[in-house]
Amino acid sequence: MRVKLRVTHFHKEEIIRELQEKDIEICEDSTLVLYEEVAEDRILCKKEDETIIVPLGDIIYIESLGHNVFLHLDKAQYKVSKRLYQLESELPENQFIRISNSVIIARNAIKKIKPALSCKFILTLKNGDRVDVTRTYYYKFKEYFKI
Amino acid sequence: MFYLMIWLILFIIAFIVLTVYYLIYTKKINQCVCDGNENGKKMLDFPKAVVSVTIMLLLSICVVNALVPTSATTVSRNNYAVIDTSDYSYLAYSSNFNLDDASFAKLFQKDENMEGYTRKEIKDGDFNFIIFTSSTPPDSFHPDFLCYVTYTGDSTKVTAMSHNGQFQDIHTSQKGGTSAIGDFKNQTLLIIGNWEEESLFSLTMGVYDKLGYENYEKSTAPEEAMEDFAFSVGAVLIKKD
Repeated sequence: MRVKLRVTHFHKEEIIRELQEKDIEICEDSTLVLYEEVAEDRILCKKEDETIIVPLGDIIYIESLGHNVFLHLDKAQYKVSKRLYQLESELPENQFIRISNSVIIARNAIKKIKPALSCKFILTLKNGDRVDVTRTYYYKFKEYFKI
Repeated sequence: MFYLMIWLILFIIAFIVLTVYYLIYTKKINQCVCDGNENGKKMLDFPKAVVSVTIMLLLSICVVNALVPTSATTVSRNNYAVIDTSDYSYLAYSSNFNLDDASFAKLFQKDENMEGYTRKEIKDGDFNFIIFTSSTPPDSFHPDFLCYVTYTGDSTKVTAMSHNGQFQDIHTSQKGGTSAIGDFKNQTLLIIGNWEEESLFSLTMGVYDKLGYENYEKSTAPEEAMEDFAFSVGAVLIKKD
């Protein structure tokens, strides 16, 4: 039997030892995945070969680029294995809002907002990045923030 | 010019209004979103505000345009036509005349006094000028002046005749008019026209023999200098009494 691990470093060595005792091979090609359950206020992310748990409160925004989804924190960026629509349904609505087809932002991550002429907002986030609220999400955004 | 200024002012006002509204709107939404201050009052979206101001601006421009006096009062009254009295056809014109029919000019007779006009006869060189100037306020039905021109010199060698009519502003001396040269038929010409309040009309006639006409045709002289090639010239200044 072969298993792929998605656990944090806290438990990794112990789990590897136990699996090896039971002759279970650890392999990245395996279709069986062993996930560490995380609390609802956390997300499991990946940076290179390391799996990391990120508290939701540290997230500035989540961005989808092609087939990859990235979590942007203040000074770091991690990859998430889930799709954006999955995250949108799992993340608490009172803390996160989707502002375009490829971006979800944290409610308290907005540093500055600038209206544009064509039913759009340009947001400057706390980490300095700029994202746009597109026309599709414009009225939803206004209703969310009651503006 | 005055109305252009009004339009410019309207645009500037619209620009200032939109700029101020943008600043207030931006500040308010930043307070709501970033600082969490929700006071429940929603402002109009900035794009909608732009559309509203644009509509109001266009309506204002329409109102201003509606107040502009009709163009009839701003068009210059300076205009004249030259009519061949042998067949009452137009030889030349400087403004809007009914180009097909000059038969209305038959109403005027050079040898008789006309009611509402002052008659004067002037001879200059080989040309006779019988001038009628209106002594009543201008209207749409009566010309301000008429001038019958007859060449009284030797017509045997005349090939062509020219006329040069110029309106001149009495204050600025600014001139404007037309000139033309054409076949000579020894006919009496009728110059009929209107003028602005502060204008007078100068008329210069010239007759050309064959050589003079050919020399003029070959030359690069401007039309104003065509009389230099005439062998006989007559001129008159027509002004209000």
